[in-house]
Formats: sequence, structure tokens, C-alpha cells
Amino acid sequence: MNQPTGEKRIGKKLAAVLLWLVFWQLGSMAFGRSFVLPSPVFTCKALLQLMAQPLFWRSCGITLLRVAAGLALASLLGFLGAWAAAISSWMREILSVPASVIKSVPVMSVILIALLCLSGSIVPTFVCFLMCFPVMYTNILQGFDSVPAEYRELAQVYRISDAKYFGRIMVPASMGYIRAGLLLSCGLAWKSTVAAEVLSSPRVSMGYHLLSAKMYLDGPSLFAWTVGIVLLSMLFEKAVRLALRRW
Amino acid sequence: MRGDIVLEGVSKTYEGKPVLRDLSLRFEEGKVTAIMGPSGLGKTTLLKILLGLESCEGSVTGMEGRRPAVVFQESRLLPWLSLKQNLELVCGPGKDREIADALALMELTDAADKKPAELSGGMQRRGALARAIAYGGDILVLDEPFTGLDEDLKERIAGKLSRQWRESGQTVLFVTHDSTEAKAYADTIVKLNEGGSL
Repeated sequence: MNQPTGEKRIGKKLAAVLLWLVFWQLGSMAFGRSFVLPSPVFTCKALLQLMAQPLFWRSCGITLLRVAAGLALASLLGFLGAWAAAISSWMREILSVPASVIKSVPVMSVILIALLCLSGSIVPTFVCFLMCFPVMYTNILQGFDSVPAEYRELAQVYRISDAKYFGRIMVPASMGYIRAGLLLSCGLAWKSTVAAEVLSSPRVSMGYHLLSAKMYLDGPSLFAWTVGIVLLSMLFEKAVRLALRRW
Repeated sequence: MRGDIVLEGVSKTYEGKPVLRDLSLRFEEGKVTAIMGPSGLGKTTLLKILLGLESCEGSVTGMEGRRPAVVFQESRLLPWLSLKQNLELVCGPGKDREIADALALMELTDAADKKPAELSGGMQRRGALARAIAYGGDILVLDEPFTGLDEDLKERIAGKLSRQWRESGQTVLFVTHDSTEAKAYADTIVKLNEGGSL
């Protein structure tokens, strides 16, 4: 099958978005109650109104910072953990327990437990870190494990130091896995951070405004904040993708 | 001068199948030795044993403390580094002259900044040879070093290398299928038979 050209691809994407907007409009008309399912036009209007307020941008900025901090911490500790696990079978066993346990614990349990132990404003960043850590750790470790034995032999015969082998061979050879882990974690980071913000309700956060809109049965605002989160999350992922292109 | 490399009663078995059987050999210091034999008879395994990459029964002496420069059966150039960076990785700092000379010898000066994926199979092979030359080990271990080079180029490159080996008195072990190549460039030819015997 022929690959569509750039213009055709964008055209197809726009057509798909339009189709779903039409479904959304039809659904909204069928419900007939704007606070349950507001129309795309209503939502757009509400979003534009929100965007005129400085609080909207402050909330977006703070949530974005929380996501970035949680993801950065998960990436850093995931990387260090995977490195330790790659060189020590003991560390591999020790870290495999939290990695697999956290993977199966529901996000809501993590948030509620975190709320018991930590102050409200730290909870979203902590939850984001905890949800992303196993993904980053597992992916990076898989990357390290899949470095071809031929490269190890090359390093051995040419007496390449361990530090050089790690930095110049092992990490670049694992970049595919590290990249996949980061992109997987991007979506997860947004979902878990906003969920934690909803439950911990720090005053300046996107999650808090989502909860407020729900409490006041303000459907258009609820949808507008949701659209804002989705757009910001997509932009964030694009930025990460762009940054990863350098490697 | 280092001593000869001596193998005594070397045997190697993979999953119950003997690859090398009670092999005793001497590789003379300062000489070029070609190791010949049909595919699958343990030539690469023999090189790996010499390099300490494979364990074996029997003894290998004369490799202790040596700095081998190796061309593996596959080129093993790291795809994320340019050709020059591949050479720099093994050579370490302050070896710009050696790297430039090795690339020039292998007629790859213009390709120094290219990534391996941008090079043909033959160029990658020469790149692997350049890496071994620039490294400047005291023994060269080459596994089918001229595979993928067209006849003219092979003759030219092998000729240059052969002259360099004679001048430097370097110990060279190379695996080949080609008896003409072995006769042209080696002082000694070792033929492996079924079961890795001589």
C-alpha cells in the first residue's frame, strides 16, 4: 500500500477529528442537557472564557510542572535502578518486587495511601513518579538486557572501560527502549497527576478545577478543562518526542 | 619480543557436539598465519578462545598481557557513531594521527564522518580493519577480513596491509576460506579438518 503524502495525511487526520466532532455534536443534541454532555461549540466557548483568566494559565503551569517533575524523577530513578539491576542480580531481585507490585496497584489506592502520608500539594507529583517509575525501570532494564553480546565482546577485546562501555555503548544501544518508556509514561503521567489533583485538591491545579466544575454541575467548564488537559498532554508528548529526536 | 602462542590439547564442545578436538598448535611470534578450513569447523571458535571470549579444555599460553586488535566476522561498527568516532572509541584520546593514517590506508578518509548505515558492506569491512589498525595492538586477529571487498579493492588493501605487517613484524592470525589469499599473504597456513583437528 502506498504511504500517503504529508498533505494527504494531515487532511485525513482533520477529517477524522471532524467526524468525531460531528458524533459529539449529535450525542449532545440527543441528550439535550448541556450540563451532562455540552456541545463542542459550548465547550469551545467555555474553554476560550477560561483562557482569558490568569488562573487558568497558572493552573496549567503548575500541573505541567508536577507532571514534568514526577516524570523526571521516575526517569532518573528508573535509569539508576535499571543500571544497578543490570550489574547486580541481587539489585535486580530487590527492585523487581516494587516494580511489579506498583504496576498492579490501582492508581486510586496509591493516591489515597499517599494522601494519608503526604501533604496535599506533593501528592500529585509523588503519584506521578510512582506510576511512571515501573514503566521507566522495566523499559530501560529491558534495553540494557538486549544490548547485543557482540558489543560486549568488542568492549572486552578492545579494553573499553566500564564507564565508557556504559555511556558510549550500553545507553545508546538501549535508546529505543528508553524512548518507548518515556513516551508510554507521558500519557500515564498526565492521567495519574490529574487524578491525584482531583483527590488531593491543591487550590492551583487543573484537577481541582475539574472537581469544582463537577460539583457545580458546570458541564461546559468540566469539558473545557478536560479538553485543556488533553491538549496540554498532547503538546507535552510532542515536546518530549522532539527532545528525544536529538538522541 | 614476546613468545609464540601455543595451544595444547584444546577441545571445545557446543551442546554435546565437538567443535575442536584435542588441538595442539603454535603461532609464531612476528609471523602471519592463515587459518583455513570449510565453514563450521571451529575457525571462529579458535579465535574466540585465543581472545579469551570462549572457555575451553586444554591450555593456551602466550596471549597473557597482549593487546589484541580484532576484526570480527561481522564489522561490529556502532551504528550511532560516525566511522571516525568508532575508531576514537577504541583508541582513546590523543590518537588522531593513527586514526587519520588508518582511515587513509583503508581509503576511507572521505567517509570518516559518515555513520555505518551510510557505508556499503565493503566500506564497513574496511572500517573495521581501520579500527584494528588504528588501535595498534601487538597482535592482529582477523576473521575473514576481506569478505565483501571486490577483487581489485581486496588485492590493493590486502597488499598494503601485507607490506605493513612485514615491515612492522606484527603477529597476525587471519581466518580465510580463500587458499589464494592464504598463500599470498601468510607465512604459515593452518588447515582445520572435521572436528577441529589439524
